[in-house]
Amino acid sequence: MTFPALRDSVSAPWFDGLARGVLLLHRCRECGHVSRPDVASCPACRSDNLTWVPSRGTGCVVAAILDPNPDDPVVLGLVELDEGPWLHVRLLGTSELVPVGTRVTLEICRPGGGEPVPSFRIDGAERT
Amino acid sequence: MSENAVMMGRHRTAVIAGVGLTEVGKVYGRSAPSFAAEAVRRAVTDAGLDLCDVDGLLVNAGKSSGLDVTLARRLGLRDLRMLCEVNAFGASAGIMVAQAAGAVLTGGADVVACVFADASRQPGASSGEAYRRTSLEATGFRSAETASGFTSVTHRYALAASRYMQHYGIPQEHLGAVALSQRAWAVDNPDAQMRTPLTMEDYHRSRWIVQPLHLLDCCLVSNGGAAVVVTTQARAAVLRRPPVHVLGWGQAHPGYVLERGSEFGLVTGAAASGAAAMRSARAVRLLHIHGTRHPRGLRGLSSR
Ligand SMILES: [Zn+2]
Repeated sequence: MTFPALRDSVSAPWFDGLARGVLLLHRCRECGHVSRPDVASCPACRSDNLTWVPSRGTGCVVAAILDPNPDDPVVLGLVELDEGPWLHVRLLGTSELVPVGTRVTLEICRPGGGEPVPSFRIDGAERT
Repeated sequence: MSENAVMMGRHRTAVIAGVGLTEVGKVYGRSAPSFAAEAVRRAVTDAGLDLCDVDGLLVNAGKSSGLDVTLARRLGLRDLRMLCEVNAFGASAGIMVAQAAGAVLTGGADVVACVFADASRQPGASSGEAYRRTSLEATGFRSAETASGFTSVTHRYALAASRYMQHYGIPQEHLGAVALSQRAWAVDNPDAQMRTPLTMEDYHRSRWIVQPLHLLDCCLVSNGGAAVVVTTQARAAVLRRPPVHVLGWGQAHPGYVLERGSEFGLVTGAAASGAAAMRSARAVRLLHIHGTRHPRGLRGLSSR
């Protein structure tokens, strides 16, 4: 079973970015710190003066889990983007847990026909 | 220092004077307010008090709906001096007792009932389904994570466990040891639901819920209610049960940012909150660590 992503007014620019093929992150106008898209204040200085910046879409795995659900077995993980933020994402190109530090690259998907979401493919893994 | 010596230094001490537990487990056809009302009544009776003596009520609702401050009316409680809902997820029970103890010590109330009840488990449905609902109702940024496959809180616990195990080199057997020791306690407890002794082989054979969490790493989702009555040492002195003294309490929420250098999965607030709670408890012989998934217990232990 898949559950489509649903936009709200705050996340609309982020989903629009994904629809254009760009993963947007927050950047603090006060101190320059780059953070996750869902923060309401800068984790470094607590300012709410945030703007959107594109991510390079590269990073590495911090932790991985395997949901063996027979309908849809998936490997999920926390990915550390090279800009610093961590995202909860699906890992593509593997059916097993992967080691910490495994390099990954952005691949945008549309699960369940909903809004686009960022996923990450293991570098070097074949597309299926 | 003896327990009496610790107590004698105190003008007024909060105590737990009574406990009430309903039938717990796969109990269907009853609502959370119904379980809560029964649990409060049982706790008050256990203490040797009457519902008329209760002047404070703290309510912690589980995953099911309907349980809130209207429980006071359902129980016919009048002239309360303290009435509110408490929700700090798994920390709610401890926080309710701490708030009740604070209230009776400062004169805000004299007899406070703290109750948790839930009826989120449906006949024929799994524990997982009861936990899944909040994830699936997400919109916005969070819904992107749900759509990616983070469909329950268990996925997030598994992620924290995975990081913890990898970072500290914790083998699966260490999680299994927690499951085995908890089951060993349950075997001797007539009120426990799972009382068959467990072996490490059973643990490894239990299916993966979300790897690295086996079925036997995860808590049961149970319908039922539980309550305690908190009052002062002076009041409890004339009651029917020996009181359980609430010597100390503390909270610590270190928080973490999900970005490079984060301690997500690696630390808990247990080291700080435990130290605060034990300021007046000199000799700790028994430590209970709560966690809905076993890695939380391990992290809590290693925090000290
Ligand atoms: Zn900043």
